[in-house]
Amino acid sequence: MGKKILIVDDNETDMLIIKRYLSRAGYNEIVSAENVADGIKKAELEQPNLIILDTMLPDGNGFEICQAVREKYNQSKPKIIIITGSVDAVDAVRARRAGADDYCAKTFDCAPLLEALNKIA
Amino acid sequence: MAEENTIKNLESELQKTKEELEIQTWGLAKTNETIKFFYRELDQKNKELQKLDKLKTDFINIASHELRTPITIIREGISQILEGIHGQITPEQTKLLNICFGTLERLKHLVDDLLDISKIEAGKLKLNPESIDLVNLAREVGALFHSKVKGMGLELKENFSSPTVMAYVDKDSIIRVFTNLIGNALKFTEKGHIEISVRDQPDQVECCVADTGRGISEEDSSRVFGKFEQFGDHQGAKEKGTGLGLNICKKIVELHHGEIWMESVLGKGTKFIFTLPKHV
Repeated sequence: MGKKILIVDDNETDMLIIKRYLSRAGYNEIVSAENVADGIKKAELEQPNLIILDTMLPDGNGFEICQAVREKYNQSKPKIIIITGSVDAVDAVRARRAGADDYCAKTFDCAPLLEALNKIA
Repeated sequence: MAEENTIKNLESELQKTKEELEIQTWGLAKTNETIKFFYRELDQKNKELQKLDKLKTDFINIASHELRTPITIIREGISQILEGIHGQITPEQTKLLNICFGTLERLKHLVDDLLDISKIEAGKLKLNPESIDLVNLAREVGALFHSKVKGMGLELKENFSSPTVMAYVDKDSIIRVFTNLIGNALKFTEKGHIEISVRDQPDQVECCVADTGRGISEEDSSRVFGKFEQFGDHQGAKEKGTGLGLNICKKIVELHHGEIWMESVLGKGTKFIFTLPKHV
């Protein structure tokens, strides 16, 4: 599909699962980062079309990356999806305020993420 | 002019509130979706677990039935040889066969426990409740342990609220509860005593097996009634159990609509208390 995706998640297993489902869905150009600092760096360096961010990261959270990317480019590109392993209404609002395009649950079958991807892409 | 400004201000505030409301609505909708997905995932996992649990119960059931017959045959054979029915045996042979017999007893105990658990879990354990004097029953079970308790340098105490305390229970399974609890207490008690008590209460009977053993840590206490739980590090435990005894006790007591719980102080001792119904 020729779309570059950046995933920022510090959980190795989650990362593997997401990568597997994304490549099955035809997204083959995937880059990854495990923390906020690396995520912001790669977002600039790799210029991905889409960024998938986990809420909790070792040196901060996905909202920070989202905000930093939005402030830098000040436009709707790249698309950003924030994924979460917990249920928190405040987090969803926070995602929207940080400029995310979507917010969804991180499940083992990646169904919510793929659904969100289909809506955005 | 001033009015126009006020209207503009109000309009801008209204717009802000509208935007805020939109964000909150979006957040709520997304949270709702998240909950739905997590719920679906939990439901799937739950179904898988239930399937696995059934598979395990079936396996245990078949395996224990297949194990019971050979154990009975081997046990009978060793007994006959030990009794000298087939001729005199040497002291060395006796010693060796006694070790075999003891090990076989443990194996039989494990298989019995497994069968009991699978029977209870399959809802096949039928209770035959009748009016029974629990003081008498507790005394009978206590007597079975008398020599073992004495041999270990411990004391077996009795504490009954009255000479007879009647309860409406299935005799065999309550014997099993007392046996398991006393057996357990013996495993973890090095010195002091084990006390069996039966108390008559207005609407139920409360039984207790207390020991002066090493106690159970708070960390382990939530798991004691679980299946295959071997709590503690087993240092000092004289023999390893099956990890099923307390789970069987819990299930039997609950089948009687009673309750079982534990009170323990590390280093001081443990009490297992359970309640049983007085009437039908």
